[in-house]
Amino acid sequence: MTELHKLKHRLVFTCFSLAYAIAFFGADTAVAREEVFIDATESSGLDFVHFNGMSGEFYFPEMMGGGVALFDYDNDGDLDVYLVQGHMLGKGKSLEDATYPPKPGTPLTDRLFRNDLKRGGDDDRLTFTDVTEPSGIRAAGYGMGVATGDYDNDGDVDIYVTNFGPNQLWRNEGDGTFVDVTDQAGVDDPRWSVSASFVDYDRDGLLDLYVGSYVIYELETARRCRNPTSIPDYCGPHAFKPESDMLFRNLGNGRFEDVSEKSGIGKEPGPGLGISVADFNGDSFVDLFVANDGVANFLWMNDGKGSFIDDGLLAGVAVNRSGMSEASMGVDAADFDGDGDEDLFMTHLVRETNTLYVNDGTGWFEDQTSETGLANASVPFTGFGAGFIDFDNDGWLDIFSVNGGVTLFESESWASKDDPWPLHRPNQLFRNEDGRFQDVSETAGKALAASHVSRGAAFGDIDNDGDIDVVVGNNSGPVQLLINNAGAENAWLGLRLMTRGCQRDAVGARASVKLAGGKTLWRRARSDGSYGSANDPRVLLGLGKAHGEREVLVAWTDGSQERWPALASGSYHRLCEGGGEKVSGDRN
Amino acid sequence: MKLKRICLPLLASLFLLHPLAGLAADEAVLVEVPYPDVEELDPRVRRIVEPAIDYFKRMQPVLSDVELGRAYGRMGLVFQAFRMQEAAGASHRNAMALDPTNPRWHYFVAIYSEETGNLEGALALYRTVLAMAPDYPNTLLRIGRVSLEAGKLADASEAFEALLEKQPDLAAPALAGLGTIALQEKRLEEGVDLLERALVLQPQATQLHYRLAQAYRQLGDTDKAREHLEKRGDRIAWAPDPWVEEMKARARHPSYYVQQGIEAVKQGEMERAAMHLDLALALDPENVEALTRMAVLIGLNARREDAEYLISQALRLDPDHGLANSLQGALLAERRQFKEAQAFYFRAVNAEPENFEFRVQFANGLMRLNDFEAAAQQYAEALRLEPENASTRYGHAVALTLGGNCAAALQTIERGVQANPRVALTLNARARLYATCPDANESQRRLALEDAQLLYDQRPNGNHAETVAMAMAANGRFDEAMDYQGQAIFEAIKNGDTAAQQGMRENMQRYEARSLASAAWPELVSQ
Repeated sequence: MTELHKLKHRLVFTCFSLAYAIAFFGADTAVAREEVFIDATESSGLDFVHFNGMSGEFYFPEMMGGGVALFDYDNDGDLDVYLVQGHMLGKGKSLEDATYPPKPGTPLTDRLFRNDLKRGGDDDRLTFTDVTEPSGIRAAGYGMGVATGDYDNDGDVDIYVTNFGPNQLWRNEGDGTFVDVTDQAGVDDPRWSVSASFVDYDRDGLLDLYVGSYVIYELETARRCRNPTSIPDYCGPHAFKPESDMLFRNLGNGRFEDVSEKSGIGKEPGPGLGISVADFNGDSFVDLFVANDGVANFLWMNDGKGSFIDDGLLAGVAVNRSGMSEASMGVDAADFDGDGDEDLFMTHLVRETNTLYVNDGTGWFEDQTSETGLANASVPFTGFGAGFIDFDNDGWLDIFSVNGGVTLFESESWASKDDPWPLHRPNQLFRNEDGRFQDVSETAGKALAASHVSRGAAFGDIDNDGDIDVVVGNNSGPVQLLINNAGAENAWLGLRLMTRGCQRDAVGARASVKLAGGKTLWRRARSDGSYGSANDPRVLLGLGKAHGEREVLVAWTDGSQERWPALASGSYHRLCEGGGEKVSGDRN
Repeated sequence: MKLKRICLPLLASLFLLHPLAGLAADEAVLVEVPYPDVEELDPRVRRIVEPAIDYFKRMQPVLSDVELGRAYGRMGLVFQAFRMQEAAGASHRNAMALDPTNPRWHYFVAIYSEETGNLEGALALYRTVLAMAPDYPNTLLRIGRVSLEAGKLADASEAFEALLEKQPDLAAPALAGLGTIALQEKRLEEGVDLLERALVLQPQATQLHYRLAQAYRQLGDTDKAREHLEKRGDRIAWAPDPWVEEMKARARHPSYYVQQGIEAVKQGEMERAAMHLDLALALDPENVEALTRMAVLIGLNARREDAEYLISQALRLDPDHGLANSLQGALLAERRQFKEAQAFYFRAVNAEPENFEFRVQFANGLMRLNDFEAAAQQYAEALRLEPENASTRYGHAVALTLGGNCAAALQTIERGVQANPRVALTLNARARLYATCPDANESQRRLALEDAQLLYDQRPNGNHAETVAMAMAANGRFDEAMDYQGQAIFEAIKNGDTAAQQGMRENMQRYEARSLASAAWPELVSQ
């Protein structure tokens, strides 16, 4: 039995019955083919239930939170989990007023869980330990999302937490503890924000910070809404004035400068939710995509001189093919069609499709949702977190999107009259079959059939076995840890792309591998995307049946390229800028 | 308060996978209707929904299958009108099962399927409708549109072609559909041609500009692409659906609640007005009338930012909406962005040329920009609509005077005084004009003094003191003019009216020099 199989055997053994586990991993059983993801939440000890503080008042923020981060805070080589938490909402409200009070003693602050993964021995196991208290993190705001990145280039990943209220920057001290440096860094943003992204937009080697802002909402004075049947319900974003986003430039001395106005970002308000940063037009400067809820999305094109221009409309990503603004929630960017550029996928409201915008290589896109088979299957769902992941390592990027409604009105069609929290919906998995997607959710097993009010979703190889696992943040519900059981069929190659001197993850750098038949895979190191969540920054390339050594080409964020001629598949490699063979004719 | 749900889930969606299954009454399987919890409904909605349910329940035991089907259908229309989708879907499905030869119920179940994302079910039902009644209104258009959404381009194309042939009055949406298909199939020039033809037929279908922009971009003509992006909007090429209109008529239309809101405002019942407007917005979140009226309401509550946002929403939906433009202009004027405000006032007037308030607002804006001639024209237009409005008459006279046409100003103010001989505003204006216009004769100057003194006796304020001073000077009584002018200046200082003081002091100097006042409204001239 391989290490991989031992680990999975152990996982399942602790999670389900022995008989089930045998059936699960037995060669070519029907069950083995069906269970793409295994819910390992309970067995791994990832014990967290989100509390949204609702009390029947239909406060808008209460159904929006639930971000998740996957990051290696202790540099031990495996992914730890950060989960945002809510608290009671409303002046004078106490936990006694809560529709769903938390379990007595539940700390209503964000939580950090350390991954205590053990591999390579007889006792392979995946377990998590709540290390919030020893880590020093006291994040008591009304949590929405989280972004990760090593902003001070000290080799440890820091955290930026977005809230309905002031945000917080937690600096990783490298000894397992964090310090709140929000004020001294100058990145306090009191507005309602959901997603943020660490991004080196000016290519000075320092991670800057983009913070997406949503709408202006005051709990006590906010407009109350009724749905078309005239009963009280949650408002949509159009009921409130949108906020402008913020861009903070990293000065390198532990402080950031607010360049929102100067850069042009702050001039256009929009109810921003998901953020994805990538070089969309191939000019080696990273651009910023912001998924706006119910109005035109932003595509902030970087001019390389510190300014951004929103080119979303002409570029074809602001509104859908029909010219209609959609309620964009989550977003991810990746080269799903293997043509070398970054395409965009975003999730939307029920009765809208999720939308796939295909890049023509110049930063201009075309809505090809229908052509790629993604339209129909998404119409009955309101989607939030999403990611391009090659779940079966066949070399084609698939899509995992998590769902959950936003109004009682829309939930009429699926929830029962007595359902106390009726916004819940099952999540979805779309398999990429030569550029066309098939909804395989119904055959993907029990874990995907579970129905929650899902919001955040973070993607990464949590058990370090070479395939992408998922952590789903559920609003007013338990977190879900979904361990991938399908990737082992195929070969894979894992890369940790790092900046010069191996200082930190080189987010934005791209790695490529050529497969037989001339197909080239391009994958970007990124932690942003999805909804209020942070992903594993490592790059995982599914190679299909192409086992053995592969040549890897890396395009760094400054446009230079390097080559590593022979990297073994089936394992992770750390590639630092300057450590490969320089490729002549690169762009810079 | 615990969250409560108002409807049960339906088995209906399962049924819709086999939409023809309910064609025969004897095979009919009825589904449970998830009646709304009427206790939860707003009282005004409850007043309509509850009797519909009660009536149905009373009649249910005594009706034959077909009649029962129709009763289900009629109740479904009420549910649908209030977007109680699941209750409507179940009612219409039962209607379809019990009254299977009536295409109407199939049509409504198809709409339900379409709205709940079951595109395949919707298409099958629309085709059933066509099989039963080949000319059933809007069905071909819906088949085309839903097929397009489902990515079935050939089916969509066939439906739009048939629509074009059978119903020339629906050519715009048919051409728009065919154009969209052409673009998807990369027949770009053909797509552009089709969409432009659709736009000629329905210029208000502003959404087509976006598709054209994308097409021109792909053709490499970015200038034209940008031109179309500038014109893009949210209005689709569409046709009125008589069946949906009928359905809406079963309930109070949002406009009913808007009207109730307006009435409540007139009666000063702001809270009640807000409730009505909220309900209108609940029924139709994009009801521009409700958005703008709500903006006025919350603007009155000093929530300027919220009001501004609602107005921007309204303008997004209807850039030519009169009240929305008027309000946007007022907001800009409040921020002293007069020039920008004027563009919105202009649009408001264009949208509703017979709206008196918009005319006056536009004219006042022109005055602020010192375009007196144009302002005078607009005041004249407003007076055409309300000839007896004293303040507009006053504005007209002021505009004509500042535009250098004192004789015309006198004419208009004379008409105002004739219409309302006791209105201080026009009497005061006439006195000033008689006192300062070079064309005024001696008896008019004497009349000016009489009127001015009468006004001053009744209301001894700075404004009237200044008028008396002008009239005194006009009648050669400069010492008394200086006394009154001194009083007027004192009042202006007391009121902190620094703008007026400069013109007053200049006139004081003129009286000292035994000269007439420089102008009837010196403060406006000196600005």
